[in-house]
Amino acid sequence: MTSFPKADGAIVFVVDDDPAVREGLSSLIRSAGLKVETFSSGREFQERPRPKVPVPACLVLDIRLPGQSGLELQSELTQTEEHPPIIFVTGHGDIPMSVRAMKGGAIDFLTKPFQAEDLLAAVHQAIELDRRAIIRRHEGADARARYLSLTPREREVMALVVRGMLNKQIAGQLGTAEITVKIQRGRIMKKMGVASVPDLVRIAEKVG
Amino acid sequence: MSEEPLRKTRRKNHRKAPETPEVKQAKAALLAEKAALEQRLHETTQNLAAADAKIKEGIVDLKRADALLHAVEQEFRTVVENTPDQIIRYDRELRRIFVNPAAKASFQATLGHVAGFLRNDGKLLATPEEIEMIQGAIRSVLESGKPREFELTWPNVSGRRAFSVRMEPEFDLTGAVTSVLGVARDITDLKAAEEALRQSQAELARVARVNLVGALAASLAHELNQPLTGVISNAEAALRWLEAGPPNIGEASQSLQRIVRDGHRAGDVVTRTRSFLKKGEPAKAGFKVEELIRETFTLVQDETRRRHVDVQARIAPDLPVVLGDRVQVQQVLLNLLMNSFDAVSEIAGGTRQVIVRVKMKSTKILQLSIEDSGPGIGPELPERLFEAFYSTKSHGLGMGLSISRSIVEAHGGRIWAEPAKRGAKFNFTLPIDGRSRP
Repeated sequence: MTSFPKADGAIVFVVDDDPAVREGLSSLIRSAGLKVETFSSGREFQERPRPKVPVPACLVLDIRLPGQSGLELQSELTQTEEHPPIIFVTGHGDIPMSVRAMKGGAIDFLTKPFQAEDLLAAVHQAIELDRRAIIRRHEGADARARYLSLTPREREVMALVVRGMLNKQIAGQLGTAEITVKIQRGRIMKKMGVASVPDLVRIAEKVG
Repeated sequence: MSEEPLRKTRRKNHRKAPETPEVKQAKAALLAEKAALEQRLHETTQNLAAADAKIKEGIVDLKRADALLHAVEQEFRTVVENTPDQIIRYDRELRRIFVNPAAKASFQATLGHVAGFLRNDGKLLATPEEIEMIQGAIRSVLESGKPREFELTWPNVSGRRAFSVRMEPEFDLTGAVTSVLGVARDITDLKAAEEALRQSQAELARVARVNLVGALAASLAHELNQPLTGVISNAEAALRWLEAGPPNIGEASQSLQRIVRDGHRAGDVVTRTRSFLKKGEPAKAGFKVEELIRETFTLVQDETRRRHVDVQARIAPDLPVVLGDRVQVQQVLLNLLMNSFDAVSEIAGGTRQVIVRVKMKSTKILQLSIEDSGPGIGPELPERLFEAFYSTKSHGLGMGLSISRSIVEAHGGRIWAEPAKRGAKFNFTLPIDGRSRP
């Protein structure tokens, strides 16, 4: 929970088969202080080396590409759970195309040539979304790891605590002493890394 | 006559006066003679009857031949009298000795008058030069004994008309030219129709070209949009680099350089489009086929990308310069390429491949081939493919190949289709530029 990716580590992937467009977009996005990686095809993008630590990112994707089209790449990426949010750019977008893109979860659908501000705004929005998604995924993974460190009895107690029961009630239900429940509750809070019951409730939701 | 009574008689005679052996012998000889004579008479009669039958038959044949001759004559007369062609026969003095009804009606030509004069009154409608010309033509056929063919304009009842004229010498048994048969056909309407056809074909070709341009317009729009997107992105980036604190001059200058480059690229697209649209007359000049192909590939690049077609060029090295109208030849190439894209798009799955090959066909002729991996051409089609308005495509105008053929033929080349390994192969030839060799 402590290893939040830093904002300045964010990266923008640009996939366009035209070098002029790639270079222009790259310079523009870099001028906004973001890192850029460019690719000439969907295949090239999918074969990129992946960082060990997840970095917030977004994908600026041309619709017309040699081989796999931008829309095809989008539906392929959607099959996998995690992928950077997509901003589509196209030379001549029609309505069915943009509907399909947005239904597929695209952040924006820009028609070339576009205003730099529109692109940068979409890029910032997409990166922010991705950052939150990464944190969510990270927190979830962290909570699950902590939960697995509990003993079976502690998990039983935790389930009852989260439901809002008092130590006395829990002891009554489990047929143990109230003092035992109090010790177990202390261990649970420590292992789950929380200081209060509301925090415990919140993290329990992440465990699922 | 039965032999019984004769024998009785003889017996009687025998009894009355017994015959000598000499008499007996003579009688027998006479009898034999008589029989022979009777036989000959019989044969002669038969021969006469046969001859009579043959004569009768001959008469029937003659009558039949006469009827046939009459029918044939009637047939020719009907043809000559009803043909719209104007037929006049001239004798050695250039007088009209036969005039068919068409000639009478059209020229008001009358028998007995000298060639060139139209009416009984001898009034001239043709100019003296024209009359001199027609008389000269008849004279030359009379003198040379050889037919002549020519075209001329000549006044008739409906004004000045164009005629195609054939003059045929006619001979007597000794081989001397006795007369000249002139056949004139009014080709005014035909010529007008030909001209109209030529004009509408030119117009159709232009329409088809406009159509083709329409199809390429989307592609060109995309081609302009790409460098434009580059220009705008780089310009905005350059502004941002300059406005940064401290300004990043290096990045800004790189962006500006890219703007110049992309701007030129957009300009090239415009130039190319303009030269493509130019309606100008064919202007033949020497050009390099490899350059034309490269340029045409750029033109269809967007199309190939959109339809996932793999286009390759296999060009023989050191090709000479060809002679032709570059824009027109490019149109042929474009037509054939677009056709091949349509063909390969018909096939679901598999590789969509188009290969353009250029090689020398002979020392003076270059051959270009466009081979596709489409469904190929039907066995009955190759002949009709190049006809105007013939199309196997649902949206086809049927003009592409027809125009391509007229362009290639106007260049002295040939265009044909043949089955390829997987699909179809279209070939055309171009003459190389004999004036200059690289």
